[in-house]
Amino acid sequence: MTELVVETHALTKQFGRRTAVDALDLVVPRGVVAGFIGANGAGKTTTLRMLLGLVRPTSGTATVLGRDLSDPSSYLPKVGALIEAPTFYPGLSGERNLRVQTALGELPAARIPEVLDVVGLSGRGGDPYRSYSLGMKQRLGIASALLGRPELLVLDEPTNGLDPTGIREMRELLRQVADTGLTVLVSSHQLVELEQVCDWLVMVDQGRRVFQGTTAQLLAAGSDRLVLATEHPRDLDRLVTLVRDAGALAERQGRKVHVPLGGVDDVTGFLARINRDAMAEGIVLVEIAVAAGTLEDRYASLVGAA
Amino acid sequence: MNAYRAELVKLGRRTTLLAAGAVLPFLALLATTLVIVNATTAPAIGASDGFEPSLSQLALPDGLTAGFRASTGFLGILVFTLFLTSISSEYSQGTLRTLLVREPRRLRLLVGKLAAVLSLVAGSLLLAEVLSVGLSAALASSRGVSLAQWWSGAGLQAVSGDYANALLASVLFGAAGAAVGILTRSTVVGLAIGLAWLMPLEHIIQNAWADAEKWFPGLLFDVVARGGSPLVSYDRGLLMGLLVAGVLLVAGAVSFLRRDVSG
Repeated sequence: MTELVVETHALTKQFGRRTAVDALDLVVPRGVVAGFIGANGAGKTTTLRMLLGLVRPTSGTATVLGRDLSDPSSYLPKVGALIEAPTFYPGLSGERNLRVQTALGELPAARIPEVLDVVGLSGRGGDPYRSYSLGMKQRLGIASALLGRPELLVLDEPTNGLDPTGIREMRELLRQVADTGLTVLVSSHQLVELEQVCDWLVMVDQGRRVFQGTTAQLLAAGSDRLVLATEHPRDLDRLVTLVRDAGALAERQGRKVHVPLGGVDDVTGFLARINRDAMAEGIVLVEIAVAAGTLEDRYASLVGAA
Repeated sequence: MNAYRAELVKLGRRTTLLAAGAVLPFLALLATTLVIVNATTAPAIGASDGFEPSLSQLALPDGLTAGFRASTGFLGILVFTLFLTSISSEYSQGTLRTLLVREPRRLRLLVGKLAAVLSLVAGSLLLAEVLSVGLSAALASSRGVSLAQWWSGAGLQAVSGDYANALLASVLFGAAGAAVGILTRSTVVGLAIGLAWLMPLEHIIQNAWADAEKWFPGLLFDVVARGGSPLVSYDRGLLMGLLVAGVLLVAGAVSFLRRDVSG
């Protein structure tokens, strides 16, 4: 049986009347890179904060590395975490900030140059943290998370605010870290970045789980999408309405209309209907193509169905 | 102990040490100079206190630390601010969550942090008193003050007693500062509330109602720093001060232990 690094049962957190996490059941097997996916406000950060002992659950249970959530000191020494934006003392150097962490966690200071090297900050450790770019701050956050040679690495939106180069560097760093065999739980609302590195996915919407399983399982579950183009761009909005009337989700993207096929049982029949209806409306289709589905399409169809 | 060491690493930066650790010695040197220069020729009545003692008061055993004692009038605001910001900045910078993931035993983290800040204050006070004593000895002859009683057993007792009082007052002001920092979670709000209360409000009320010194925290803590006042005995000041600081600290600690760190 697969060993579970994280397991929650009916985990719930309410802030006043608002339910941020709603009876969430999730598992993360050992050794995977698990993507924790959801829109902003879906409950990802609150869930991660509960797992890290920062926020007390309203109800439900959970274990991390086999230890109960109510005793975070029993498992947190084996967990590295970066929650939202990295937070360090701006007046201290990157290296001194890490020294605060090694002193607090009773970790060997010799780890500092090692982790700075892993994240590519070897030459900049002595610079004040406030002088770092956002990408460097994120990398220092990961360096800090790696200090204790964790079994589980929890990263919350590690690419938030990064430019495309920074996102690519972060993805490569994530892959590099994952190759060492530790379990990674990474949350993001940017699905494209997760699709490329994750082999396990947990999707949440409004605090509830809408999918959990391997990336392959998710993409195999009928997530192709239909791409339509019209002769005249002015017809695109009418086409969107027409597709929605046919019972599918449709979204205009530039000069094309994208239709996730996840919820469509008879794709051939659906295509024929769209073609017929468009013709009846005087809309000339110049492109009808089925493209391989992405995580984004699948998420949209799951959230739309939820 | 780990939290204590970690806080020392944070505080050990040169500029922090200079800013937080050198202010008290500087004020002690300034106060000592003023006390000796301003000393009057009026006859001695009791122990010396304030910035204008008489020369005969200065010649008493506790005259050696008259300058240091006078400087402790500023102690409260400085220590209160130092403790408050050391906690509130962890909230406002978001660094508290990084610390709590590394040390989830919140009480240990809090105690370690406060103990480290107190160590800095204790060291700073020690330096302030040593420098003040040295300057007093150097300047005394210029005003014709006899040193005979300063280096007596009673004089040295006054040195240790004044240091202990200043340190105790620092504990009380520090506890209040930390509690306000935790409860407000904001440096700006905490300082606005705390300083407004400690500086103008308590003193305005005291001007209208002298007994305020028996009940208000900042005034009570000041009584401890001065070793007692004409209105409030040292013992009462210390007892009431410990009680008030204890209540504040417990309220702060409970909040620190129980509240979610969601910001």
